[in-house]
Amino acid sequence: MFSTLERGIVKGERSGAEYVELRAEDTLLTLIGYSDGRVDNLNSKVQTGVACRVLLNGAWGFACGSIDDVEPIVEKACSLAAVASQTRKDKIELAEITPVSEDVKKKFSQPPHEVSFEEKISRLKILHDTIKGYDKRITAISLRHTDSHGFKYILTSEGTRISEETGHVYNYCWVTGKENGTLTAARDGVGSTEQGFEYFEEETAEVIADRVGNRVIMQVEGTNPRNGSFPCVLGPRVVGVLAHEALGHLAEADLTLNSSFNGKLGKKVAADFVTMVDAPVKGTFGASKYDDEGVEMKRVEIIKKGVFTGLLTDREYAHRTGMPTCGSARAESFLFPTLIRMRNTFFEEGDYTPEELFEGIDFGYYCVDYRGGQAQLNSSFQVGIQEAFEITDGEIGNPIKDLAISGLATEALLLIQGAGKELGFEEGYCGKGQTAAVSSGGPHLRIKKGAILFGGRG
Amino acid sequence: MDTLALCQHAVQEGEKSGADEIEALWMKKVNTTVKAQLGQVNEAATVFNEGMRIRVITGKAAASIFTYRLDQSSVSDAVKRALKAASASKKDPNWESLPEPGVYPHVTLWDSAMEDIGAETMAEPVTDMLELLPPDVTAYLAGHEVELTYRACANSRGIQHEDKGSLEALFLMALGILADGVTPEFLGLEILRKYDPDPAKVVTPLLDNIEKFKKPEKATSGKSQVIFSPSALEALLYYTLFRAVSGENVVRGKSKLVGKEGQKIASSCLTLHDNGMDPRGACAREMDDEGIPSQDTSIIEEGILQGFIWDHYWAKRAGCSSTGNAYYDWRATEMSLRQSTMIIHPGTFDTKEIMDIKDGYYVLDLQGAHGSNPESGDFSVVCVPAFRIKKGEIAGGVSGVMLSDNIYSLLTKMDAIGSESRVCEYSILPHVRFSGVNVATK
Repeated sequence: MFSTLERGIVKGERSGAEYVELRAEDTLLTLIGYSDGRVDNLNSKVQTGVACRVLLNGAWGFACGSIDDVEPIVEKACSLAAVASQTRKDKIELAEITPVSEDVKKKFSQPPHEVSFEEKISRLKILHDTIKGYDKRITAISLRHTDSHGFKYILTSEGTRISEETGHVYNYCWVTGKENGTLTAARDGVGSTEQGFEYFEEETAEVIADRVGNRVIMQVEGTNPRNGSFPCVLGPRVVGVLAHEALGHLAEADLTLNSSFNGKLGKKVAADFVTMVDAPVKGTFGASKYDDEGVEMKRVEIIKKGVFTGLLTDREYAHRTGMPTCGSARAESFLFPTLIRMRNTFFEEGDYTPEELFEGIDFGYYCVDYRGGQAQLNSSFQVGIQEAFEITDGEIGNPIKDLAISGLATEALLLIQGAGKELGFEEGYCGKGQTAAVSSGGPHLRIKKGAILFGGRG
Repeated sequence: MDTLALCQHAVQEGEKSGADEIEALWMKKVNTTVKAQLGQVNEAATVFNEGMRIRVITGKAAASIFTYRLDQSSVSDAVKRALKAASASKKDPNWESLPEPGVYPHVTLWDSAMEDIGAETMAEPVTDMLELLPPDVTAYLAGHEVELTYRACANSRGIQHEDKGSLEALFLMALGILADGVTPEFLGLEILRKYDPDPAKVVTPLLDNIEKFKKPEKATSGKSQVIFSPSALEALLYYTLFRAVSGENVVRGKSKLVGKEGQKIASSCLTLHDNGMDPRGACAREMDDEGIPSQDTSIIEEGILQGFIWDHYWAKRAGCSSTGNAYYDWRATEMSLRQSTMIIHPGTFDTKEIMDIKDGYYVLDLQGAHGSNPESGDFSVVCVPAFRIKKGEIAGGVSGVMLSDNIYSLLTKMDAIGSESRVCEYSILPHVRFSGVNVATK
């Protein structure tokens, strides 16, 4: 592979590129859909190709296609960069890195590609039947198993030469519940980029079915929430998505410079005890050793003790902002240029006991799990909640259906009142134009009234 | 070998190798984009994505393989792998057959000028957009995109068809700089079938909206009249109503519209079609991804539910015909049933008339629509950007406004439909006004 890519590097340098980056991929992807006892999709894709990104006259050119066409692809990228550079007033520059040469291997006990379709379908059938048996009010079940295994190769004109084994497993459930006139649903998604099919020895059918079954029945039995602002306690999965949406996106340097957090580095943005981090945490979803620019993934303290201290960068934005590189340049596949992305984003633990988290709340909400989230550059965030309970007189009460929370991160982070002692994580995909495996989490957080607006049909 | 012949080669290989049925769908997308960030063009890119999806059925069990390798030998190998996968799959007793050939509509989706346009030509409208921005407005992202799509489909029941389409998009995501922060992000987007970039058409209304937003207005909780822009309406409908009219969700009891054909489910002013043939639509095409002709399907006529959208499999299960709504998602490698271009028929209200309310809100975009509950139809979405309307005029921008309601209830509260439509990603929609919407604020 590298000998083919080297021809592309030579081509790029001869075409005048200041920097040439080639990223080749050979990945086998599998998707199996299993709905109401039927295999509705059994699809496999061999994703093979090469991406070329060049910096020429201070602008980027990107092209991709078949590895056999690496030289014309590089030539195309160079001609595109030349066009992009024509109106630039300044040249894009990259932060310095020390090029590495490494062969990175995965340690899968059961590599996903070595597990037969029959075994994967059998797991889904057992999971389907287990969810179906959870409660008779469960009326429809849609399951998706995806996995991948392959190799990624990065070669740059600076001498970076990385081959990395890649892979993942992911299980997604969408479960419908019905009783009388109520029709509702809940979801569950779990996966790993560090474990192979052995991941499902921990995430068994029973574990997944209990989790998603409980959520959908809570939706069936739940009452409509009140609208307005209330004190609340957020569980680790919701805290994670809050970390991701409320400030995580706005700490991506390409967004920060256009956001309400621009110019706030070094300033207080959250309660004094709050520390929020994005890091390649071992065992979580979305972590690998190197990013798609060949930069080692490193821990970034976005908020340290209430102060905005760190940005997620790629090499361009590290140079532009003067912040360190951290390995956040990620691409969905060879069909996409890199973007600055989160990896594993989380609030660090605090010292509140479970009793302290809830005590003194006359009325509020305890939000356990989410359905989706979204951020805006003015720091407005929204998180759909699929598992929540009322808090009444400091105690967890009735389940709530179809709740959503929103607020402005610039206000809400300052109103975090306390953090629990234990961390939890969730796994999922982020869609900032491209799909990236991410995880996020944190401890339980208690948040004051006025920080978050609750919306529902109550 | 031309692409349809390559599809036929796959079909013949499958038949020789023992497949009961086989279908080959070849796709090529060539996408060129010029992008600007931080006020300057920073990147030009061409993505060349070509491959073939081969679906085989053996013993009523189906499987598919997508391959980027398109020489005859690799295609033959992919057919064999698909057969092997199908033999490992599970028999579906409800499987009947792949579809048969139909009569394809002639839809003009191709502008040959777009084939010859290079990045150099495409860069100019981007710089023009940037030059139109005043100093207190910053562009997070500006871009100009041309996408050429070519497809061919053949199957063992005689389908053989090719189509192609070209699409241009000029977009700008910008925000106003305030003394104490920034406004929300405003999106300008023009999607065209014929190459005709018009930077002013994207920039002018966006700047007008940013300027109006800068004057802050307070929002209040309670029932209110709310006007949805086409893009806000698309965001909401995409995750609620468009799911509910999927034939699969109807058959599986996942839609609240089950059994409501012929009943009034919306205000009489609402007529909604799924139209895969309207050339304005970004999703228009001559055939769907299993080779069935695109068509114009009536979903709601004057508030009365007419029917649903179908692919071949779910139509057979329901005893009806496909409406040409099979969709192959090459990124997720998944076959599914989804809308083509949803079109709400325009009404009679011009902009001034639809805004002519005593007090209410005008919502340009929504945050969190994807967190709606498609089964129950409940949603709680943040209106951002949004305006307060007083005495028929935009009074100023509002923040922290949430709409919490239910789509089936909302459909009955539609009280005015705009006379001009806009082309969005999956739909062509006018402005629509609703009354009595549940508004929540802090």
